[in-house]
Amino acid sequence: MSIAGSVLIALGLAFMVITALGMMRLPDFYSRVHAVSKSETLGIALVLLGLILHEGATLVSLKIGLILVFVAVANPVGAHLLTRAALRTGQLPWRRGDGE
Amino acid sequence: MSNEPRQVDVRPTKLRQTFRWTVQTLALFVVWLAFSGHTQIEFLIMGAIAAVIGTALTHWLFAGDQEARFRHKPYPPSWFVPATFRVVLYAPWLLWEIALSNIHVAYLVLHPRLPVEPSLVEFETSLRSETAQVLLAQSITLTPGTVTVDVSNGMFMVHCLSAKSRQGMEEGSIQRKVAGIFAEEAPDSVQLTDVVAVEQVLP
Repeated sequence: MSIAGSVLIALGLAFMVITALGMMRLPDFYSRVHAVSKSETLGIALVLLGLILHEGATLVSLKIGLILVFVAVANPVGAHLLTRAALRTGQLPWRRGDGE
Repeated sequence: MSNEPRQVDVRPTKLRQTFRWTVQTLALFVVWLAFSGHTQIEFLIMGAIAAVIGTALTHWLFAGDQEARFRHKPYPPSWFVPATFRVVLYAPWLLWEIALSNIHVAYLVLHPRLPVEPSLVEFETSLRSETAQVLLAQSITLTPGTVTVDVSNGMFMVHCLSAKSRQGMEEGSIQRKVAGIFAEEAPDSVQLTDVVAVEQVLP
């Protein structure tokens, strides 16, 4: 059980690293939000699931599960607000052919 | 249930407002109980006070007295049970889509040539209820390479990270799923319009 948990946590961390990489590699604000809102959601979800497996069926696990739900709901809202704010301040997305 | 876009005056009645207040306060209190794990009376009172304050702070959002917030007439109480059931069925599908979405974005980021093809597109949804539109917006953000940028009056603006994610938007499979939950009509495909200039989006 705890091995499975550790594997999940490691996988989650891998996704977090990919998120960080995406922040650096992707060309503009909008595409970076993709990296943050997706890879990060799965990263956190995997880490929390790993923690639940370590913890077993306890109240703490239930709380972690609730945190998971909150993150899953809040992350897309955050991504949406960020991109909307960017658009309203006149930021246009990068397109192929725009140059670096 | 008619899908005609129209303004329906649904300023909640006193009874409905009280009902919303009660449900929200109870929900918050249950969450508080789950998180604290204390059952002594003084803690329960504190939790109840916190739940009431929480409800009061977000009162405008759920139980408010806004005019015609819904473009769809309010659902009858009997509607909520099957709808809840359908949402529960929808969740695993969405989770699977989220996993796929992550792998897709991870692939794009890790690929040496960074094969992204970003585009900003706009489309009109056929979904009329606000709740359905919110669920659609959230689902779009969580699924492969698409982020909802703006929603107003049924017009969705979506940023797509790759050609593949754009194609997914065009197929409108998420819209059909959400339409299924809310028993609304859904199109076979979605007409996307490219947004290329700021003038198109700024007032």
